[in-house]
Amino acid sequence: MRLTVPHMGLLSTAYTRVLRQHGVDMQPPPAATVKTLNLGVKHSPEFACLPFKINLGNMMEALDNGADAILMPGGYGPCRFGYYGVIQEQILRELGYRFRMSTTDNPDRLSDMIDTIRDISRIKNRSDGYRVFFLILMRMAALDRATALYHYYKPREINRGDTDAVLKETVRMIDLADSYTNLFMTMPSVKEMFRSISIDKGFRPVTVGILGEIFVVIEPFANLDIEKKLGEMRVEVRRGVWLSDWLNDRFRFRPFRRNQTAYAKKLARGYLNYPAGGESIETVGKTLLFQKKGVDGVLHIMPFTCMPELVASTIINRISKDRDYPVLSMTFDEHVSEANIITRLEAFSDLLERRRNGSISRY
Amino acid sequence: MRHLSIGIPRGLLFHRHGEAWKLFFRELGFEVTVSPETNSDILKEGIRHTVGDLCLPVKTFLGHTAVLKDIVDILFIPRYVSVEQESYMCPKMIGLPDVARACMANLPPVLDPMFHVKLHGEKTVKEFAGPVAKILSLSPAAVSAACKRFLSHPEGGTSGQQRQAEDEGRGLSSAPGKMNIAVIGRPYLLFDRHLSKDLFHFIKKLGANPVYLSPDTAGIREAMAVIPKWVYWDMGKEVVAAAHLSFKDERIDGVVNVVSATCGPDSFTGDLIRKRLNQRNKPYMSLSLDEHTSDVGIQTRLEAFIDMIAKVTA
Repeated sequence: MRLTVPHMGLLSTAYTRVLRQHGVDMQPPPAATVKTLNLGVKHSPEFACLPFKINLGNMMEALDNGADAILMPGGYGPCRFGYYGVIQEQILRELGYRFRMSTTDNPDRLSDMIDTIRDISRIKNRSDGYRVFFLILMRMAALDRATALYHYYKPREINRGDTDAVLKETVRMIDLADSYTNLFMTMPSVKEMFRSISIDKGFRPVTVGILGEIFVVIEPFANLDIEKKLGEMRVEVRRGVWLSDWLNDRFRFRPFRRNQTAYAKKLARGYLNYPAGGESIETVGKTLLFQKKGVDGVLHIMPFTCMPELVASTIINRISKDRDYPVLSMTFDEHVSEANIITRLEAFSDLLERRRNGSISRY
Repeated sequence: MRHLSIGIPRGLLFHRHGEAWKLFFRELGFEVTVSPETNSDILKEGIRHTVGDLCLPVKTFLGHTAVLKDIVDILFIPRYVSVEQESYMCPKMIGLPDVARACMANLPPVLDPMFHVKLHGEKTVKEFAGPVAKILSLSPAAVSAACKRFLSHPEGGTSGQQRQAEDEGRGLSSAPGKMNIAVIGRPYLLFDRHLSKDLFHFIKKLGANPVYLSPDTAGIREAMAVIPKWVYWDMGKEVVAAAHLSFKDERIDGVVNVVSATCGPDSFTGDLIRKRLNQRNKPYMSLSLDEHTSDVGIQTRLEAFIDMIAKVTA
């Protein structure tokens, strides 16, 4: 059985090596390209959301490369994600692909995740299952840590491209750290590598909080590498949505980090009084938090027709008016173009810059 | 009568629970004002207040809210999260009271009790009644009792408009040569004459018999057994079940699925219906509606659809 799982940001880096060591024949999809997207778009329902289409393209390319089993997390709503697997399987079978499809219907329940791991790998012992699963979680947190450092150093770098090279190298280092001890030993050198980048120490970049639907936020292919683009415009990214936080809210592997969903729910009170699925409550709560923390503006990104984020975008638009706080919502689908994104980001960062200089009083 | 008037926008869940809501407030002694049937001015007003790509039914709902906001004391926009253990409402309905407040700055107080069976189980009615009693300063026991009487059933009584449309679409015709066309879709699209371009009536005008099937629990269970996974959106599930029943019933000659263009759940259920349920290859057409849809466009497609069935069966 050659198993493939659609990509989502750096997640595959967190599990591929570990699962391989335990006898899973992993076949990650090739990195997404325009071809991936076109394949997905061609066979998806017209108004399916962008993550669905990219996932489908991933699956097709992986199956073409020899995979014969797909693992796709599921769920029970209200967002469409929980139903992805069913529709994708139907489309792939209609196209004549032969494969085994497994879903984890409760990806937020620990026991289900452990069962999934035992199901696909050589691990039979429950406690070994826990050990491997938590190692994957810790690796994900380490990758997120490296990404956060990237956000800090990128706008300050003196030689363009230094930080990208360091990120690439540190991701590789974390990938190689295949045990708790190795991971623990690696993290100081990851930090050290970022610290060795030559930066403009006096420079105080404009800061932008990035919020929105989690796939579009963490998958550079889906958002046209928006974080790198902002970094190159010398804007510092403060990301409000992390995969390791999503995982930590459910599996509590970082006991000293607070539950982000619960926190956002508290913050959002008065604007969104009950979570409308997806990341809607995080988007609303953290927009308010970013303003309080002095972040210059919020960039809200989501797939076209995303239900939870449409609710959130309507509400943060109100927050923006009520509290004079710059918020830009951007929708991503297969038609979005590089030039469009760059132009809007430039306009937004110019606006934030001028506001900070005091040349614009109200947003 | 107490001197407070309660406004209920005629949109979204009103088409399912509206009658029950009206009875509920009358029982408590309030005057209820419902916005008039949708017309192009209401829809325009809704579009004007909307930011972003919210769907047609939500825009319409906001138009109805705008009509009421200056003439009533309190707006009733309940937050329906789930009406049973197995399913959710669509996220836009879960966030509806907050969306309404975000879209219009000067709304009167919004009464937004939460109906969430998945979370509150047995206590759903009590949790729903609590905020109502508090805001209207009534005794919680009286509100709970009224809730139990009118709202505890998930269907909670359909609106008059829906009943009328259902009557129009009820009953299969067994007259020879009379074509039965099943119309499936969400109540808030089908039974809003302005949005659906009065399609029941038009199908009749073309000489066919429109049929609206409302699946019962057994019908839903049967349909869910045919597809690989339980559809976890309340109304999406009903649409899928209605489609299943219509494809199965030999007296039905064709099926029309009416969807809102950017509807999230229906982008998926549409695919299920077309590929999974239509195994006998019955004539099937999906009509997607948005604010740019014209009467003529819908009518032309219906005409062509019915002509095609007539040619094939002749």
